[in-house]
Amino acid sequence: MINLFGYRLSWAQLAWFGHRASGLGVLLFLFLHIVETSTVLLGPEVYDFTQTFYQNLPAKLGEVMLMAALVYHSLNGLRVIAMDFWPSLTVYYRPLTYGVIGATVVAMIPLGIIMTRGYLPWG
Amino acid sequence: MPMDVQLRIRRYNPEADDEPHWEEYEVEAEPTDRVLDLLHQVKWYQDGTLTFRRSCAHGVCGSDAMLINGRNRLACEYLVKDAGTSITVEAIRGMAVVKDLLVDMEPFWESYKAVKPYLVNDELPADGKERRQSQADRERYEDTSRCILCAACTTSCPVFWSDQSYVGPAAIVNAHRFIVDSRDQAKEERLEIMADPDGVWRCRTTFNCVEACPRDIKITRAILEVTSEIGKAGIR
Repeated sequence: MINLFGYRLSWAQLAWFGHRASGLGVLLFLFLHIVETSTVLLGPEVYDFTQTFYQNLPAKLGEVMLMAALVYHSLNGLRVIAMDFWPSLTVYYRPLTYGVIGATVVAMIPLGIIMTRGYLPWG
Repeated sequence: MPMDVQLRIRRYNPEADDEPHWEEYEVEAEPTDRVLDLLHQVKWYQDGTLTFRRSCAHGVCGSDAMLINGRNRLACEYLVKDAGTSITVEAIRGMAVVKDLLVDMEPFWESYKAVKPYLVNDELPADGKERRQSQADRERYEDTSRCILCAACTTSCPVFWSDQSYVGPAAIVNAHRFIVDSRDQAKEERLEIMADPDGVWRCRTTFNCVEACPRDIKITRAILEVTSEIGKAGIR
């Protein structure tokens, strides 16, 4: 495993960093979403114009990342809550952590394809 | 078969150095030698100024916890055949370095003492001799009674690195040992201490403590059992 801050990074520690990073990412998008939605107060033309910012591949990939952050944060949050309620589950922290990371990857394959289908060769 | 080992040690003498720095030593070792044996070789035959703490040297006293190859371990338990031929050794994190690998453990002991790590019971036993306990009640603190207070867990915790006011996993483990002891009468008092903003709630379940513990104590389980006890006791 790689070292972070000079200490060997375990998957469980990586899961915690990921939880923080995904939470912050979603929060930042929430602020962006509030700003973008509030442009409707300036008239439908202004709102429609702001929506064009999302109509390109980089923005679509950003949406895929947002979805990945939401899926991961939700699943990992459930893992943490489950351990809170049943401390004996902590014995299985490694398989639980791998399970959350694996489930996020598996969920994002169809979700990513569906979200970017307009840009795919067969889309 | 002896092998050449490259030993990198992060050294710091607050009286002479502005910053910690790395020094390298070549030592010959058997695969079954421990990292502590390498440190002895350096101190005894190459550089007598190297400073570190060790006492029993057999994984019982817990005095030689160090950051070895990026993870907290006991130098007296980690073998060269597992560590490889290039080994880095640093002082454990989050504690003031006194010199080289020797840290000031006083804040650690303060946190430990704060949880009242001893049996509190002012009543005389029913038979006047001993306080009996079922096997099931004894089993509840079997795991946490094995702590050797080496500080490998507390100093592997990212929460502790960022804020040393956090009581830390070791103190919680030792609080747990008495909180779940059916003979103890200071459970509520300890739970109040644990419910402090610098107490048990600061755990972020990164499991670094579990991976660092040389006694394989299920530390995060103990921490979450204490939070559960706080909830059951209705402490806010």
